[in-house]
Amino acid sequence: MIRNYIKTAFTNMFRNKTYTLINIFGLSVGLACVMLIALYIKDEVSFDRFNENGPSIYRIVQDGQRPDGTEYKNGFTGGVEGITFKQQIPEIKDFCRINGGGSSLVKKGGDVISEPILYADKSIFQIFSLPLISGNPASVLSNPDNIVITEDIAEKYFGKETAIGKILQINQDGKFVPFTVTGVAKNVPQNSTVRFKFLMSIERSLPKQYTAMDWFSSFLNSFVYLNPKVNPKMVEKKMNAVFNRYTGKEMADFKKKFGAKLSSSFKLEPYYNVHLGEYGTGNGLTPSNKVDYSYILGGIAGFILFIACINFINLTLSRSLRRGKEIGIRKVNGSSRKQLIVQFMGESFILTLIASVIAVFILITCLPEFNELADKQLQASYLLNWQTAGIFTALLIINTFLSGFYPAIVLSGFSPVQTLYGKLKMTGNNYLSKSLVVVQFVVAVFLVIGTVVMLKQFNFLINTDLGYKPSDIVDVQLPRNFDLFKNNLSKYPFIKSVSGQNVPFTSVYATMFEVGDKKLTSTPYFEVDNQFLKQLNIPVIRGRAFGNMSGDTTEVLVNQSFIKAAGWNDDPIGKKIKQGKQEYTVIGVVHDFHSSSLNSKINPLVIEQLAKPTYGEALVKIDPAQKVKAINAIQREYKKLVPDYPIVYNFLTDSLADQYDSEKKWKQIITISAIMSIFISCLGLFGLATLSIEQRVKEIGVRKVLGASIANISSILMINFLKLVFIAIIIASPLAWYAMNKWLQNYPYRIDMNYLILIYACLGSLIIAGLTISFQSIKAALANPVKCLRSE
Amino acid sequence: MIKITNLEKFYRTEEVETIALNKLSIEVKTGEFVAIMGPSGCGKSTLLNILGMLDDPDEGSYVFNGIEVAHFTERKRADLRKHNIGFVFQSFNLIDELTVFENVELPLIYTGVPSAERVKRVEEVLDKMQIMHRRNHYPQQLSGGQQQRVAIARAVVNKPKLILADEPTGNLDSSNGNDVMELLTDLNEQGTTIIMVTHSEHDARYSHRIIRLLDGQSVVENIMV
Repeated sequence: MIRNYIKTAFTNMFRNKTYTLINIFGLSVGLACVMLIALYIKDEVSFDRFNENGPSIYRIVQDGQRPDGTEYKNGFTGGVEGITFKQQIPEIKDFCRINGGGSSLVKKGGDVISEPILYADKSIFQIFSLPLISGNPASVLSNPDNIVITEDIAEKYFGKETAIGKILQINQDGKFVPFTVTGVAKNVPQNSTVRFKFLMSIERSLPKQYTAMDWFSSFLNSFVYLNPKVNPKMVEKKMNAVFNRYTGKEMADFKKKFGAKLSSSFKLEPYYNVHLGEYGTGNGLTPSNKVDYSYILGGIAGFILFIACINFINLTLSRSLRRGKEIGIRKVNGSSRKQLIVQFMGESFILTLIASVIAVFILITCLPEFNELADKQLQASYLLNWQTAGIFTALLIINTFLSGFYPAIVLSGFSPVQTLYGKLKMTGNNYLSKSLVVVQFVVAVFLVIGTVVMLKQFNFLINTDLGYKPSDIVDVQLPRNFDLFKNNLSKYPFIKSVSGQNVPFTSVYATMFEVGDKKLTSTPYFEVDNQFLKQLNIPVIRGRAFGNMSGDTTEVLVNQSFIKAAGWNDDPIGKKIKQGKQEYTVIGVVHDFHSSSLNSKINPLVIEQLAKPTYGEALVKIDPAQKVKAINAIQREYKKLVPDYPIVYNFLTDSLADQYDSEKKWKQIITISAIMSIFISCLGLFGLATLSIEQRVKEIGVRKVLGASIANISSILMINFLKLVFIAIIIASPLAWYAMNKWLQNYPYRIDMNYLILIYACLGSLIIAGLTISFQSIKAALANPVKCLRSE
Repeated sequence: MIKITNLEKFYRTEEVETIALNKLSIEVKTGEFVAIMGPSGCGKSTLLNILGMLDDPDEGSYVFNGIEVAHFTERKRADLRKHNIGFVFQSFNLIDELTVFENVELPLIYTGVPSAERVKRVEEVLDKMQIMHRRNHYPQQLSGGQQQRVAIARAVVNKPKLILADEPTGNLDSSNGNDVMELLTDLNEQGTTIIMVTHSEHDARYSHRIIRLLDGQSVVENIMV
């Protein structure tokens, strides 16, 4: 019996190639999307689960209120919390502080390679499941000159030789320092929040000005490992009691000084929650992620698969007129309804199985692109994991039911009398098919509108006038010798000017300024030289710019927003502002400009001039016509002055564009999903049109014989389908309008949702759908009527 | 074997109700060969479908082998049908996707006959119908006469007590038509009851008795000599 079913299934598939291809293609793309997202979500929710002690590990975090009453969540702590809490609270079995150090240079033979360094307490190997291949976990980090590396790194630097006891020269504060390899760890899984390649003692990362009892700095991650069955709420209480004991007086002073609303309390964040948690990560931990991304991606993938399933259902139902005869014969010959349901479900299973196999190939091919898009390092080998295999098998079965069940019920219910005597009419099911087509196009049109809005907003972000001219400026990180560098470059004709700044242009330092008794917290400030404003074309609209280099370093410029925030209604020139104990005089006002991305509002800004030219960044304006020469000169001069650090430089326009990385990724994701959903929907429409025209061959013939023109006939055929797309547009437009408006609210600077966007998107969808059906309609209209009438 | 009493069947559309069978009563004995004749639309096919349990009557009684089946559920009817009744159609109704052998094998599959037994029985019946050499061909590769032989082979492979034939020679030339009628006669002589709908007086002459229908009612019964 099974053989008979399989044979009928395959013969049917080969006989109806268009139908089979549309179904398999649509399903495999849909399944590939869902599989990719399943891998993504599985990776997200399984983050850190490999840690055996995981349920007892917590990160110390802080909830607090700023002086102005706004709330904040802080995932970081200082050097003191871990040690003190461990000493004072017996429920805490152990603690581990983890900090990241960015990259350091490591010598390998004659080369220097930039490598990431992580700093941690030696307890890291007791608390986290990070096994050592060689070395004693209790002592590998007991000396600040020790280093632990992973097996990959051991092989990279020492090949097949044993790494233990070998020396690595690693740059620390501008000098190469020898480190002894005391341990080699297994490579850390990519879904681990604590991840390292080079691990040093935490002592090395504690700042020099760090004092043992500084409770008010937060720059690293502190984890605690609780005794089994301890209630974390109770530990939180004890932590806050300890905190109050040590800082009660200081806190009271702060409140007096900054405002009574200032507060801070410690919480414990379960380690398993860190990756998707609200406190975020940083300072050496693997970047965290938002749960929302999982939901959105899952939703999109689900919709694409849903659209493909609708194709399957619709095409199967439309073809049922043809298969009616087979169903009738089988029934007459003794098949029960149940057997027919099994047969049709079997066919849907075979088709889904083939589509799944193709989907796995699509998945493997697309994985690198997807990884880049989703910031992941998923590997095809994960597919071999039994859990993944389980998820995919479940997907196969669910999809078989989703797409096969309804047609199986309908088809198996056909009365043999009707099918065998050609009385079967599909009028009853037409509504369902039509509604399903409408649903498909609602999703597709929604995504198309979303794409158009996102593209427009993205272009707006990229192209808006920032209030200065960032073009042709190279931002060079310069650890020292700013003056020499500037002098040396000025001799080249293609270098137009060089100015200095203390931090990269797009990163902002912020601090509190006092204006009278007003406190402007978290106010960004720039430390620049006197060339800076001129080079970036930032106009001074009142007062004056900085004078020469040796000018008064208590002079500052402010922007228009600062004046508003300070509440100055009269002439701001000559006003005093305070930062800590230092008092500054305002000498000029600049236009508001977007120093950071358009994702945030322009903040009040203070521009200071540094006394000594110790700038960390050189902004070099070059002649765009001689870009290559200019870059070469910059690299050459840099190498002369800073031979020990590799050069890091960026075009300012690129760094600005980098701020929109996330927008760019979402734009890509939405564009791809819109294209896929409209494509799969149109495939289905094409199939439906083909089948519907097949059923109307006689009608078309009669109409032609009676004198209908080709245009006449093709429009009759097309209007039926375009009507559905039109209904879909009417449903999707307000939904998309609402959703995209909501999305745009996230941006302080945004495009206006205008009717043209809707009209473009809808016209586009209609035209694509129209083209899809027109091919079949015109072909049918052109056919010789005698032929179609005779074939009846 | 078959006794129908006051059988009624209506077809309803939104505006019109058509009476297909109007208080029809007929009896067919085991081993009989009955032809049903009448003009188009007189209810011949409707009657045949009800007799074959493909359709159920709206009113009246249908007793098959002593069992009242008029209001059986679809499942019960299917079960009774597959063990007792074989069908032969004017348009053959073979499954295009299956070979001759597989088409004939179909009823055996649905009655759960084991595989080895199936092969034996299909070969036996193909041999009898003289189409053994075509066993691996597909229906489209056969002539009309050959296709109808396959259809008859399929109808008899399960050794049914009753064969229902709906204009079995309607799509065939006269020579092939005669062959088919001979086959049916042979089957009848071996004990199978046959009820055949036909337009052809020539074919009807092969039967024992002709029932003539008009407007859903039996008007004349001719007994053949």
